[in-house]
Amino acid sequence: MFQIGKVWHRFWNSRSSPAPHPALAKRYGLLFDLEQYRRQFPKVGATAEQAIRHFLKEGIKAGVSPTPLFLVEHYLQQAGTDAAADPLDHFRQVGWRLGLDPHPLFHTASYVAKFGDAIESHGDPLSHYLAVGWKSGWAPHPLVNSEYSASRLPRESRSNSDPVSQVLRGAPSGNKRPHPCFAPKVLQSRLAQLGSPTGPTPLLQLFANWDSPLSPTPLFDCQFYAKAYPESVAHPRGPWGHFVESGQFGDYDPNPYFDSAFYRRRYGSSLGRLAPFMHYMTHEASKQFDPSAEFQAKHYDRAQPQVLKNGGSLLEHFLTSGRYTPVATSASAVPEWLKRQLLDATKIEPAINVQPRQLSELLVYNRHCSNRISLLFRTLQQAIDQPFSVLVLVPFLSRGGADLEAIHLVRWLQQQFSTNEVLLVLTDTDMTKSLDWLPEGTRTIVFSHLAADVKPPERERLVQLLIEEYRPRICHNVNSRAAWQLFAEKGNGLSKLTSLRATIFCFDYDPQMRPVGYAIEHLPRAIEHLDSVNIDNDAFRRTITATLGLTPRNQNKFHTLYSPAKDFGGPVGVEDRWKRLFDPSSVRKVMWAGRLDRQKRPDLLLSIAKQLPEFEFHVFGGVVLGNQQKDPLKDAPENIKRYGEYREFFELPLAEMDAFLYTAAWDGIPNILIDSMQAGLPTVAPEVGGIAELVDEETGWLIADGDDPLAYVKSLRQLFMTPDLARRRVEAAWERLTKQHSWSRFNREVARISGLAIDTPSAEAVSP
Amino acid sequence: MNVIEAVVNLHREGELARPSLVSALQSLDHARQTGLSGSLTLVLDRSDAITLRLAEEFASKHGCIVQQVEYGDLALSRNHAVEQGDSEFIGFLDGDDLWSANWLTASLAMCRRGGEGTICHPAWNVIFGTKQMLFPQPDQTDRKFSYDGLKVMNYWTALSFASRTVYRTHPYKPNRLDLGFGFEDWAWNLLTISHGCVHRAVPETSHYIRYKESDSLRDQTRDKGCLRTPHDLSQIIADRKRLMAR
Repeated sequence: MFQIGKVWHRFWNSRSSPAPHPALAKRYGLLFDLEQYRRQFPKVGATAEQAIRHFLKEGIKAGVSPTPLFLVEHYLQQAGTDAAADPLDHFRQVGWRLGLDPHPLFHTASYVAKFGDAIESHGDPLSHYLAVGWKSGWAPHPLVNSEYSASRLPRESRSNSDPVSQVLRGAPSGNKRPHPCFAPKVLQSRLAQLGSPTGPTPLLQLFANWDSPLSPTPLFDCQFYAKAYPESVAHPRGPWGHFVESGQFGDYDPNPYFDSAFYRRRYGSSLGRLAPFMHYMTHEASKQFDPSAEFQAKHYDRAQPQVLKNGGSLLEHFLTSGRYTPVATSASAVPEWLKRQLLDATKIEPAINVQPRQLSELLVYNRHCSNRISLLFRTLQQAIDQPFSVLVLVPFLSRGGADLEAIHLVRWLQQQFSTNEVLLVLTDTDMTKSLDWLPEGTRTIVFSHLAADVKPPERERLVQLLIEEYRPRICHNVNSRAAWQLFAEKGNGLSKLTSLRATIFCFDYDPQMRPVGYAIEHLPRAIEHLDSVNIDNDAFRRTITATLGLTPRNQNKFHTLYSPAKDFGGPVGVEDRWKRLFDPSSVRKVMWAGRLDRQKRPDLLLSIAKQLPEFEFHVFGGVVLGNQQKDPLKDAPENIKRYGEYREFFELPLAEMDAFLYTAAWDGIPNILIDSMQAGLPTVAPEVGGIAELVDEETGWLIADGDDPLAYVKSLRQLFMTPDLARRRVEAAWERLTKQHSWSRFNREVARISGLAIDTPSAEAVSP
Repeated sequence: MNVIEAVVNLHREGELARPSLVSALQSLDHARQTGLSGSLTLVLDRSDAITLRLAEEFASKHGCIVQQVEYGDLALSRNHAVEQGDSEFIGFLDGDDLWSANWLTASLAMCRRGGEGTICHPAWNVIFGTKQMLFPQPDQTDRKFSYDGLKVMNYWTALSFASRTVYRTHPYKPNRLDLGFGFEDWAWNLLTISHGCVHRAVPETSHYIRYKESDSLRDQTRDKGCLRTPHDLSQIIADRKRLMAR
């Protein structure tokens, strides 16, 4: 640990610590900051006693910290249930003597070792620190620095209390922080990668105990540090651990743009007892110090004036984003000799249309030889940790049919190759709603977790690098935008490195009913390089062949793979349903489930319901977020009963329903029809996409003119008037599912398709 | 045996080649003035008549070697020059670009200081023509250098200077744009580093790179969505041929 400068000491020591409230002091020493507690619970009551009662009754349960350096959640994780009644008291009476830490950034054992008996008069080490310890300059953790913390506080708000507590008050922030290397965005991305909660406690715990080979901050470059100081690799926590424990207190450079030797040479007399890096970070805002000869703080501030104004760090900003742009870090970026040589060259070639005086204004390509993709890919590689044979690419995991298809495929591939050999990558967003559908142990990567702002071209490039670096045998795209874009642009070369495959669903249509989507925008350019394309119905093959004018060779790449019915699904409440259907007095309950969007035609549902006031329509599903569309069922009649979004079809009250109504403007074979038929619900659906391959006059009621509400009305009436017929069709539907949507058929077909494709390279001849 | 051979690769540059040849000769003269021996070789690959005539006139006036080849590939043209000559060091210049006068001299000094595996690049490239910009070249020994970064982005142009042994040990691989693979210089940079070579930026040297609206290799590489040529491309091709034969 390390001591801070004398001048700074005098400044802070000239102030006195605030006197604690006597009742609080008696019970908790300095561990209960009444002001902070009231900030979180304004209606806690006027007296200290009321605050204590509130803390014991409500505050502990809510995990609220009564002082910034005591995190209840962190403490209880170490102390267990014994401390749950009053963790503050537990710490004072027992905990600190057992070496328990009140905060991830307060290391009790080190503190006790330093101050020993002096602690007793304050009751506990944290109270000692808050009263007098902080003034000594002794840091309770190597990732805490009082002088730096003070520099993060506006002068007028600096009080006579410990600056570390002040910067830790409130939500973790990249500006108000106890150490320059505390970077909440990086920590949050890492927590997301680990699938951990991202609250303040796990964030601070992660920072205090960071042991990933990657860096927790842009200010520290692990690869650079390991190369510059090879001995750091042997540290149990790698180069970062070495830097935290010793490097930062000496003249070790955390990144290539910080030159401690330069700094000491130039500013040695100003350093006091601070090491160059900490001194620079503490005084950076003054712009009086440069971290290295090639990084001039004043120059960078002129180029990026918003950084310091927003409380940020110039060097950190450069390392986070500036280095990936042509921004210059010093005034003398273009050397004089280049101007002379350019002049000589123009004497030989007058067509050189660059004048020496223009040089400093020219765009500098790749000025810093840095590319963010490289950093993102390194992070990705760290998360992958071992090779894989199959790469499955999906945009995200919601709870729709496409997600289910992808998961079926993942499961099958895992059975063929082993769970470890299959890597599932969510390329486009961080939506992970159906992670629980995945088989246990599925290796999953979310690109959005690599950094806070991964851009679309970066996502495409990451997919490319995954294929180039790991060379999986199969790369299968199920609706990933990044992968479709990449396959369309670079499919030729990629298809020599892996077997490119895809699953594609029906066309989407724009408001003018023109086909849009991947099948239109990307498939035509990608198809030459794909070995196979799975579709979920035969009708789509005919449609896509006609629309895209596919060659016979490319037509043969399409394979119909019917979705299997859910293995946990099955008939629900069928006997009772028949009884109700044969009872003319029973109220008819028609079920409708799905997204309330343009494709699913809620307008038709509304029209049908209005014309059948004697039936109830039970609607499960919500308006799609982000579409900013009005609720299409806002003025629904009373016979429409709404239930909002649902998680899983078979969790709905299916036993109470008498029939299933499906409406859609376009589709493949929607999984929800497979579900409804599996559940034993007589089903009415329009003849669009591939629906006729499942629903027909044997298995349900197929509406030839899917736009006509009267046709649905007629069919629903017939369904309820002829319960015998309904029963026969439900039974026929089960037979159809067994033949067409069974797992055995799915496994057989996917094996046939995959086997065919694995051994068949892209068709064009390859000549050396 | 000469110490330095300046190789200018020509295709169909026409009059644009003239300043490049003058520049190469000037740089060679600069080296000669320091007591170094050197020669200038013009390799014409599927050239047109005007370029050939210009090259032959220049060669007869200045005593250059002219070699005509029919590869239609810059990588193979360079390899040809490597195999045909016998100088200790080679510097490559494309037929419409220019070197700073001190390029050959300074690069040779760098190679001699750095040892056998040293590959030289200019400290700065000035891009002129339809696009104007600066393109600094990093030094592999610089502490900011990142090999991971080179895997995702090429740092250096193909206009390098090194010992003939380096070029002979690591010949350029021709692009296979038909298979979706290009960027032969990028692939070569990675390959040479993986074999222990060190790419250096020679202080106070510069190249002048002409940027044209249309450049056949650049355009094809972009239009075909090419990847960087993998180090094991020949193995990939062989594997696929075997699969096709099954």
